[in-house]
Amino acid sequence: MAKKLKPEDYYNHPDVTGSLKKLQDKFGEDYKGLLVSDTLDADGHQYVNLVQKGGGVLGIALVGYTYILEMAGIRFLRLAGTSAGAINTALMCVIGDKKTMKSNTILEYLCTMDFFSFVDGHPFARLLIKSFIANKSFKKRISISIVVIFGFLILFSILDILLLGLANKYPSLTIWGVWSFVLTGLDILLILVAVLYGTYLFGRLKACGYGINPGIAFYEWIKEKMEANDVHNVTDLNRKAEALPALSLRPTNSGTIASLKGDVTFITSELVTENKIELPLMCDLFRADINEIHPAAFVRSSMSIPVFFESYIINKIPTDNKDVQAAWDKHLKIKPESIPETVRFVDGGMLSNFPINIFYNPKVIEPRLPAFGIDLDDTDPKKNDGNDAPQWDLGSYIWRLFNTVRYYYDKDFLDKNAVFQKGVGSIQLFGTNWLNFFLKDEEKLAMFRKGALAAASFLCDFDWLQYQKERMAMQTELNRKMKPEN
Amino acid sequence: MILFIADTWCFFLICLAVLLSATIVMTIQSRNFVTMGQVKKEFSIFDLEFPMSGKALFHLITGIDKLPSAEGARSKNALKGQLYVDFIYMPGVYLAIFLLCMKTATKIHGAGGYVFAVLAWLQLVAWLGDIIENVFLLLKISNPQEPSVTIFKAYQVLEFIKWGSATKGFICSCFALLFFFITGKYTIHSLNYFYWMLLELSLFGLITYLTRKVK
Repeated sequence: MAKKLKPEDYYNHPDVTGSLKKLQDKFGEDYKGLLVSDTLDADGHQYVNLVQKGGGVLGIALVGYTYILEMAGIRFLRLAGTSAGAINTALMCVIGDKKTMKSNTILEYLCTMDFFSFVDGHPFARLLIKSFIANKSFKKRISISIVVIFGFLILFSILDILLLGLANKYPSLTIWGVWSFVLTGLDILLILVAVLYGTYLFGRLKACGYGINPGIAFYEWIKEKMEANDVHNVTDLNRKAEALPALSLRPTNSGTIASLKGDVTFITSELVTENKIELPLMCDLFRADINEIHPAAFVRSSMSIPVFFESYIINKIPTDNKDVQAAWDKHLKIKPESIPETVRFVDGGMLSNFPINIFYNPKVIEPRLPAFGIDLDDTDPKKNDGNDAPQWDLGSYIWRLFNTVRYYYDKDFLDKNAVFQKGVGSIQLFGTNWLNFFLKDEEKLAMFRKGALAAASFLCDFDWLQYQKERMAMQTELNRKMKPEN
Repeated sequence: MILFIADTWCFFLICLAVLLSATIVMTIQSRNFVTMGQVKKEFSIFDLEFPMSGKALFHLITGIDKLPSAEGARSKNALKGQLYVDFIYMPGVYLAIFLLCMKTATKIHGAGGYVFAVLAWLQLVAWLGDIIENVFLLLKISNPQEPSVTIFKAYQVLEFIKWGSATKGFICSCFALLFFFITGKYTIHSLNYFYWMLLELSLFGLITYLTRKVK
């Protein structure tokens, strides 16, 4: 039996310890020379805001990245994430308090988590998904099987005709004719079963809102983890996210600590009103008493990868309730008569897979802490030169269309506010399929290591003073442009 | 093992009439099958026969009770009704296939005949499997409980035996008989039964069409 991974297997790997050593060599044994923020707690932790990108199972790399940040004494004031980023965000929010190092506990969860159990759809669909993703030759084998089945059908049909003709002349061949017919029938039966079963599964998919996996296993898992950390409802979640230790600013910073606040945000896409929804901030849209919805639902809705998972649906919205009506008006400018009774969520990555824009506060001139972002980059560097663009097949073409639309929103913000890009570290993950829920242990370890290496590299290059200067310059320039005379 | 049954085709027509009549009733009943998952959704008897897990079967059955009471009661009554009508459908379908296989067995000499005789007798196993399945489902509807892994596994095996025996028996005997038909190895008298079968199937098509909106 294979040995089960332990948290030590992740953080004791030479790449991870080497990353920490590299940082210690540069910033000192206790990372005292590392400067990433002006916001500090009594223990000397530096605070940043953190946004984590979505990317299916690639999210393991996020844990590697945050592990290094935490080891280097960085803690997180505001947290945001989409999809897989929302999962790590949720765990980082609920475990302990702001000062607690969370990555070790998350690693423990990771070690006991059965990724494949989240693929909780029909066994046949699970088998197909597993085969398609984990077995590169599966597509070829399917094609060969189809050719063989239809080849046999043609062969048996020819044999049927031949034996029919010959049986009249040679009666001893009659029995062969019967069996040839029977084999033809069995071949047709095989094709019929495949077609009918395929139709049945498609019918089921339609009835399930075009989602292969119900996502119940994931919902139960994240709910269990939240409840194990004393988060039983939205109020508990907000309490955890908002509770701050005693913070202070470096004397060089002219701002004040009073207006700093902690929070957590999960991004999801809502299909009925066609909106980006920030949860738990906007959960008053759906219930008068926000505690009627479990916060696990926020993470579940944020990671509802279309088709792979069923959409997450909230129904029975009290559309007549005054508070709910006010919330719709406040958040989405939707009037009472247009409030839907049911909303349907799919993965937040459809609209904003990297929601760093929620940390942008135009009122702040001199930043007190930076917004860090963790980017998961799985693009094939060779395929990105565009040379193959004229030859894309339909799948690649649709995928590119889809990606162009879904990435533009976040990219546009980063293009217009380039300073935020300085807080973003990118983890190169090309070669791992983001839907591969059947990861081998070594693949999980490799992703964690890549995250750790990327974090160390990012911290070595990050220049807080330069970030602060550019952020101030950007805001000053914007404010100047916004003045009426300009 | 091989039975020579006089008037096989006559019995076959009776079985066919029974199974087609039951199919009409069951199709109408199935139009009321709805359950509550995340949202209200329609289901078919196949969802009960091939659920993805014991838990899924449990959720499907208990989901009916989560519907508004009138709709839930209608769905549950229709489901129970279909399972009861299925007891009438069973002799029709399994005996019809039994007769087809046995007829084929009598027309083939040697080992081939025995293969079809085995296929014929397997229909009785399939029938028994279907009875067990229906009793199991009726019990689960009356007292919804998630089946244990072993029971669910046994249920799945039962389904595969049932469907495997019935479809193989039907297809193999039909194609073997088709061979005899094309090569002219049949009595002129038996053609009358063939006409009656066409009439039954036409009537079935017509009634199905006329009742397509009946719930």
